[in-house]
Amino acid sequence: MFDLKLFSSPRALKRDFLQSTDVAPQSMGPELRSDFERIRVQNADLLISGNFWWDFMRTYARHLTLIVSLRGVGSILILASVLASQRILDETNTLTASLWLLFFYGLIQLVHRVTNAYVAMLQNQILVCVRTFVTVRMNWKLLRMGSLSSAEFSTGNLKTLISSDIYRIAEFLGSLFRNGIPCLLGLIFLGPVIWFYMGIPGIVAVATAFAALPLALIFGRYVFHKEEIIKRQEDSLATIVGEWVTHVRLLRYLGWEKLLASKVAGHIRKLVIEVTKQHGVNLVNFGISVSWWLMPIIPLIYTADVMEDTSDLSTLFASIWMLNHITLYIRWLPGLFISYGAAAACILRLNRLFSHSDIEDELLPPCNQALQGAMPTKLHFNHVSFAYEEKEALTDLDLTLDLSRYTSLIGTVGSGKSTLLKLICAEVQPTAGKILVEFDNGVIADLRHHDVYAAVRRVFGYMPQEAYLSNATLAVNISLDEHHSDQEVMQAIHLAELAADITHWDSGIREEVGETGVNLSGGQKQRVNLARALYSGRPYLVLDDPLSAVDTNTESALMQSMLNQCGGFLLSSHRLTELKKTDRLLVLHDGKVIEDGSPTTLAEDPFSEFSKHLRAAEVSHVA
Amino acid sequence: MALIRFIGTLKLLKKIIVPTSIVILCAAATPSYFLWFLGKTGDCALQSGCQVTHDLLGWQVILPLTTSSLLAIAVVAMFCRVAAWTMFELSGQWSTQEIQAQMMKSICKVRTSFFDENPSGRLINRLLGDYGMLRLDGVMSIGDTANSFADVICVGLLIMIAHPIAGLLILPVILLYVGLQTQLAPMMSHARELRAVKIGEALHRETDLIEGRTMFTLYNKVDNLLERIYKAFNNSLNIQLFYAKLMSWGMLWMGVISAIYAVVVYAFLIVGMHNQTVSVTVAAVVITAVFNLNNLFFGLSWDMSFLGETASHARRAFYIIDLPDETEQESHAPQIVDDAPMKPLKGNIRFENYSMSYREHLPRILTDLNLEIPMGLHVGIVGRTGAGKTSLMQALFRLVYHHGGDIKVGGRSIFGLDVSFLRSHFGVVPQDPYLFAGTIRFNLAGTMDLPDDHLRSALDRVGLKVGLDATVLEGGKDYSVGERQLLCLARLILNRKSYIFMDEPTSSLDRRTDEKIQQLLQTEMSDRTVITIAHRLESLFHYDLIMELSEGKLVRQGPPGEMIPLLQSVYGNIEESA
Repeated sequence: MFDLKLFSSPRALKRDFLQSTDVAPQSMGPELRSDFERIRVQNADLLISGNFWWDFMRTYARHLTLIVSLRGVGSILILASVLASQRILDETNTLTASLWLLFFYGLIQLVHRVTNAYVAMLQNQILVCVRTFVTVRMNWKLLRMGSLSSAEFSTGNLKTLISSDIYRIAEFLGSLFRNGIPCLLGLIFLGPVIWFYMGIPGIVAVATAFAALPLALIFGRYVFHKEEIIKRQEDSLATIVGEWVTHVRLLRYLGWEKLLASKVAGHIRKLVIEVTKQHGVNLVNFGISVSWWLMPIIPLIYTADVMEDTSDLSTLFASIWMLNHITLYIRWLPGLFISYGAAAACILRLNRLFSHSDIEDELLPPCNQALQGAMPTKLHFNHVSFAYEEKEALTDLDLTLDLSRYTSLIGTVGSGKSTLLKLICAEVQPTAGKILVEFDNGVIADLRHHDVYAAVRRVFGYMPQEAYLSNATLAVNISLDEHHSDQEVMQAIHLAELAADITHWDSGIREEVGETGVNLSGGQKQRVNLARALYSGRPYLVLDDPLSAVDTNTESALMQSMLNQCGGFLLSSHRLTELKKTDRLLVLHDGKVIEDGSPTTLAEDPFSEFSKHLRAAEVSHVA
Repeated sequence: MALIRFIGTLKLLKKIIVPTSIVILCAAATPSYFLWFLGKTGDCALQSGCQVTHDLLGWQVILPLTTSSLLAIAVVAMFCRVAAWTMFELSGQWSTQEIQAQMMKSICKVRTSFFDENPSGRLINRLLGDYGMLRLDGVMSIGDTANSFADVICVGLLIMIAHPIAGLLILPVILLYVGLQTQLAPMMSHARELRAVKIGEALHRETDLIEGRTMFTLYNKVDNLLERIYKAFNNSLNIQLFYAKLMSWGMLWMGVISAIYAVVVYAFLIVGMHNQTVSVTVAAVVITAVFNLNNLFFGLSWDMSFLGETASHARRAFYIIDLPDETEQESHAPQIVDDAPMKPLKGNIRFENYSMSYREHLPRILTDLNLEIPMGLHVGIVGRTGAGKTSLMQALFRLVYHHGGDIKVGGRSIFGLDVSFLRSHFGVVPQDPYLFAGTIRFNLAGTMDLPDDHLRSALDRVGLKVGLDATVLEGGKDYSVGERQLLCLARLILNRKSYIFMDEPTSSLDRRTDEKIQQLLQTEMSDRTVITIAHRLESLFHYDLIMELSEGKLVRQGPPGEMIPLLQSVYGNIEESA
């Protein structure tokens, strides 16, 4: 743990810090600390009024006020040093008087540096405030939301929200406190003095200083617009290079390395042309605005001369110094306006997320029937339909599922298998019709009742088709818990036929699986998800295609452990051979059940869909 | 060192370095000159007839002390500033294409296992991320440092009119700044790295919540997840706050240095004014420069703080550029030079006591393999997973680590040939063919420059009904496996390779396509050597010869009539061996 000491020698500081991989806990300030603590509380009470800025300002009021007041102090110190310097220019001063003035000037400078450094630190903390503010509220919302049926909140978009949108908001705030507010405060504190000193010429000069703004804004817009084009080009380039490095063997089989390298070079060239254009305009913009501080001086002198102003040299120069201070910030103002645009778009997205309906809103109040300790035994589908973005996945389904039996589900891609499984474990709610749950004490109630929903969610272990893997160890991925028992994890691993795989890994169940499980093969990822469902010890399992991407021996072993381990399951599969071991088979086609029966009976019926599928598969097995 | 080598690669910039340097100096000098001129103008109080005369290399330049002259100087200052930046940074940016091309060239030649050892994300980051940083920020950090340095020096020159010593004192101050910067910059960049790592970790946990929300809520593990998010976040916030402190630490000391310097300059001015050696105007002009000085110093140290990062990006780019060639890394290969290196290969493929593994220290896959594939025959290769079927193919392409023995084609060792020349003889239909994002035309023609009707007729012959300009998504996921294999076959029909490897899919849902592929192999490829890694017995009937591999060795071979009953008794059905 490394700690920063203000007066330690820079060399020692550097030596110690470069060897550290962690830093000592930093003080956060009370409001940041309390907002931050909410991350680990599920039922925290948070400000979400729909107005992002208002909530933000209320949460960090003290912090923000401190920055603004320190900035105000900075402007006053600038004014003080300008006045001191002006007095120094007075030729009638005695040497002692001048030296006293110098002493004051030095003092002011030192205080100014200290305030500047402190305010810079506070400004940097804004980034922390924004990240905490958004993350805390997003977590809170995500945990409360029902099914996210809208593409706007796809995982990709949500990740963008948390990984890059936050920084856009922070960028705007940083720019506001670095440039916007100092500029405003400079105008408030120094503007009247310039006016008082120079009269009309002073006003003209200030106006000239701001004349740089429209031009810079136009340039800035162009740069911002180009940024998106460049981003798109960079993305397509990343796709090409990504394809390239992940399929290098194929490239070498084809002998296409040079072809793709030249394709990449072509794209790079296009990209560099765009970047050069953008950066060129940016440089022109910056070149002008960096030198713009010379401009206000000219009308100042000219107007003063024309108006035969009698102000002496020291007042003229004092005005120039104050003007310079204001111009310093003006050049950054376009960036402020543009970053506001970007931040506003992000906040709009955040607000839409915050105003998304909660699962509580989708559910009905408790059904007021005795469910204490009751176990669901059957699900009755009553004219159930499910549509995803106006595309019907399941149509008017009437079906009774006995949870204590072993049911399998087949059908082509897009026939609605995954949707049916999601409906069963209450991941999503039907868009029409209802699902009734029958309990072992005879109660039958709509799944949407709060207590029924909770009871159903308690009994299912669900394995989705898209394997979910966290960038953590294998054991944590299976248990979703850092405080798991290794023994139970190992048991799940054996049942999911993963034991053979982990013998090759150096750290066994402590092996890191990498981001989205990059270190695992497709089959391993699925088996980890199966192991998770088995580890949960839930009586019923809902498994979406658990048998794909495994070889035949493993397939039959997996089927065996699933049959042994749970009181009943529903699984969908593309592999047919093992399905004969289940009790019941459903064939889905275009959102409808077209066949329902015992797999052995169906297999014997030469005209059934199942036997057709079986034959097609078997012909290719043995000629 | 990496920084110097990086500057060395900027060819266009090097060509125009002399005019660029002059413009940079002009850009730095003009604002100071403006202030000096302003002082002169103030002295003469804009009376007519006042002027300054400069002797520039024999040219007499006369400037009247008027506001129009001031305006002209200001415009020149702006122009020079813009020119200085654009000349340096745009030419530098343009030149960086070279470094990217070098990286691509090197990565084209690196050994194949390098790609297994390095996750694709990291490689993309090197090839595009580091390059992107060099392209914009790298060049910018160097250009801005040069410009800021010139600016500070010119302000020093201006201060010299008050007192030479006051002006010269700027040099030790610059040294102090640079000294502080050499301490601070590594800390800042280490802090930035740490911050990136910790923020990355926090993002992983946040991703858990976004992607695994349903899992965590279903299994009631939300509190546990939130605790982990809290921990990760705590670390990342701490480093961010620390970074903020570190930055203000640097700002404070730099500010103090510049404040002390300002006081020193003021002292010189006061003494000068008292001794009547410094006029009020000069004092006012110098004070104006001193007011700007803090920002200039800050700009200089800010720009310099990125040099360290540029150097580390450059180091990573050069690491890629300096990677050794693949042929240097497949050691134990016999040192043979072919007599006629460009003569096309023809004849039987023979493996002679050949052994290989994927990487040097990994267990061997093929061990002392001896087999011969006669030219022109269709050969099926069977064996359980790990028997070495695919390795056989990779060995021929020289994609693996060679432990001993030799592979000969028509009596010539493949290790004596140029790698890309060798590879150009073999065609492949992969098990799950990957198509590159783009068009059908690109995936079909590749490096071949063929007229459209050739391409279309090849598509017709394999029975694919797609347009040449139909789009292909990444991987070809908009086409079925069968269609993708047919496209590979169409490609092989076009490029007339004499040896073809076919990796059958383990399970195909589309039987009609399977039959089509078998039929095409018989009709279109009858005169070529076809080596099929077989997964289905029925396709084996059509082959001339069947070989069975086990544990990297050939166990038996024979015609289908002999082999198939044998295989059936061993494997039951072949699919289990896939």
